[in-house]
Amino acid sequence: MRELTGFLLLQCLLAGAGLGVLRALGLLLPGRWPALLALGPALLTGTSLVVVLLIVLLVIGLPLTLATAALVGVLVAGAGFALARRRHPARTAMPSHVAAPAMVRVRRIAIAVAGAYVVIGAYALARAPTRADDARIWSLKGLTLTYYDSLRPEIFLNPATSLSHPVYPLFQPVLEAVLGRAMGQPDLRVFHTELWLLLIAAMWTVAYLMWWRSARPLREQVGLALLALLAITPTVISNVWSGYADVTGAVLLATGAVAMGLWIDQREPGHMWLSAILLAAAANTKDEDTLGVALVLIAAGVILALRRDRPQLLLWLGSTSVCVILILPWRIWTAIHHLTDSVVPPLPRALSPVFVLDRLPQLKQTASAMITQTLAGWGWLAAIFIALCLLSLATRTARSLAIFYLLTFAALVAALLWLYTTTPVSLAFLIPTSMSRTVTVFMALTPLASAHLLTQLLSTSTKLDLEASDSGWLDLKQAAPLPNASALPD
Amino acid sequence: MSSLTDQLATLVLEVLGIFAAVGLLVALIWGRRPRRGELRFASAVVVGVLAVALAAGQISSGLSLLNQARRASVSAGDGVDYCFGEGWPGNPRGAGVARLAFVRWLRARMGPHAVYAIDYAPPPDVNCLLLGLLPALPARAGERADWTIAFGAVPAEMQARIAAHDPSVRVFAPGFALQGDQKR
Repeated sequence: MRELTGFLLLQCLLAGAGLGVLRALGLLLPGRWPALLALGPALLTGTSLVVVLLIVLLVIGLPLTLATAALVGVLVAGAGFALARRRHPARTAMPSHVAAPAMVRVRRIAIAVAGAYVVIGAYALARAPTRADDARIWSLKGLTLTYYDSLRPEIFLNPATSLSHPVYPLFQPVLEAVLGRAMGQPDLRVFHTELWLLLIAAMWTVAYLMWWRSARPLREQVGLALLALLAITPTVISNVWSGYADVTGAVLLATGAVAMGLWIDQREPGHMWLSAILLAAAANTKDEDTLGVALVLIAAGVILALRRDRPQLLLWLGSTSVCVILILPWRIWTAIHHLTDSVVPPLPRALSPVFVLDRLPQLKQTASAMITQTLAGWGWLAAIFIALCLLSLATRTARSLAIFYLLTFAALVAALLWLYTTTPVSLAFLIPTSMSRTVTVFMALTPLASAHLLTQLLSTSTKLDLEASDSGWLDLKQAAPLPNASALPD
Repeated sequence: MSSLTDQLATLVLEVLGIFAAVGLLVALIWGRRPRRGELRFASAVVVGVLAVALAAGQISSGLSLLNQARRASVSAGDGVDYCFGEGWPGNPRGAGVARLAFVRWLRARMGPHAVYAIDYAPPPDVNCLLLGLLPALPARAGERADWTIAFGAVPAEMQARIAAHDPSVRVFAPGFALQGDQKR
């Protein structure tokens, strides 16, 4: 009973912190109903920010205790609500959309089915064993931080553990430790449920930001099926069951990228700051995600530079700086202690095109394994994403957004190809043991970004009547600008 | 590399299949070159239907895996010790499970927050062993340990003590012993 109470209280603390942040960012209206609707995003945002701040505090030497976690959570919530009161004092009515009774029934059934699925998942994963990389990397650090409140050199600097990625960041271990402390005793099995809730919260966040916050009509929410795919894909469930960090990092990265996409599309600064928080959490989860975060930020920067949008570029610079500040402490700590990772490519040599071309067989082997895993583990998601990007470009629907997602996706794929091609570790070992997991770093983006693009297609096809122009195939240069979609300069 | 070409071709065909479905829908509904709004609508319908179909088809796999996870539930203690029975470099065919009884015996003897020195020969792999022995920690270089563990390999000094029936050394099995180093 004590364990369950501790588990639930921790979720309340994290969600409370998240609600404060969402209010401060202007992404949540006051009131009980909006707060209930935003519980998922609040949990994801609160967990991301609180854990990242705890990592910073831990690295600078403050003890990681339940009191520290509670203090950080309460401070974040308090600061968020105080800021919100100053910045958004007016109580605004929640936008509402009157749905037909049949639609209301559909919605209720969908909520009941989704809720049951989430509960079944949480229960099924709550007694999973600690195995494979989870035991050797994540939970070894997590359990150490549960018993001790600092980065004990016996584990974190132990030369005997040098093969198990000592430089990997601490998002999962710190969250696991906070959970263990909140429950009164470590129970590594329950952490799988926490990871499951984070996955669900990420999907909820995307749905909330895209549809529920602005009460978009139900017909525009067909993208929910794409989001649902993330939670029912066996590759994803299997990863959460194993307690690995791949899905955690990838969904944080993907949700951060979609929040960035929403900012590019709608120019609401709250989206960008939320993106910075989620991306900082992603970068603090796994090395691949750290690289992924850099690529998402660069892709966004490229889009803004193409638009020649100075005010937005300045905002982007601000959010990028926040991200970097939240990523650096752990990286500095590992550098000070000369920790290295055996899989990291030899830098700067590995950046040379000649070096990569010299390893053409490895490149082909990696590409083949990557596509095999993408097609086998993720079905049609890659095809849907690519088709939607191309269709958006062809129909001039949110072109900036489509280019941003395509750029990000291509960059993530290229980065992973480069990592595998240039790593000193044998691919005969690395590909079978890791490729099925690491493709998650770019594949988790596909359902979320596809849902966003699909919504754009649906909303513009219904808003701009079918069609003012009678000229059949439209002359793209004469096309009217779309609402909320800023066109790139031709 | 033909497999790479085949796989790329599969991906391209899937994308083309979506385009073809959009084209077919446009031809069936409007029967002429579509306007931009019509094309958007048709694209959204095709992708939406495909997404719903994929999700519906996948639900059983997801539920089946969750059910598998539920049936593979373990107790809290077995959950932490699971890696001892797991095939891994340094722990071939999960051979470390045979040494789990010794690890549990050590945990009971040493108590929490002990500091130990260890003479160790796998299995299991070192990270699994470190996890299994937590909250006891290995001694840092130069740090004095509360305990010395012989884990598959008995150091010469401990062998001498065992031979002399030193009461500070407790033997669990040949090659597996614990020596109290009298700091407590």
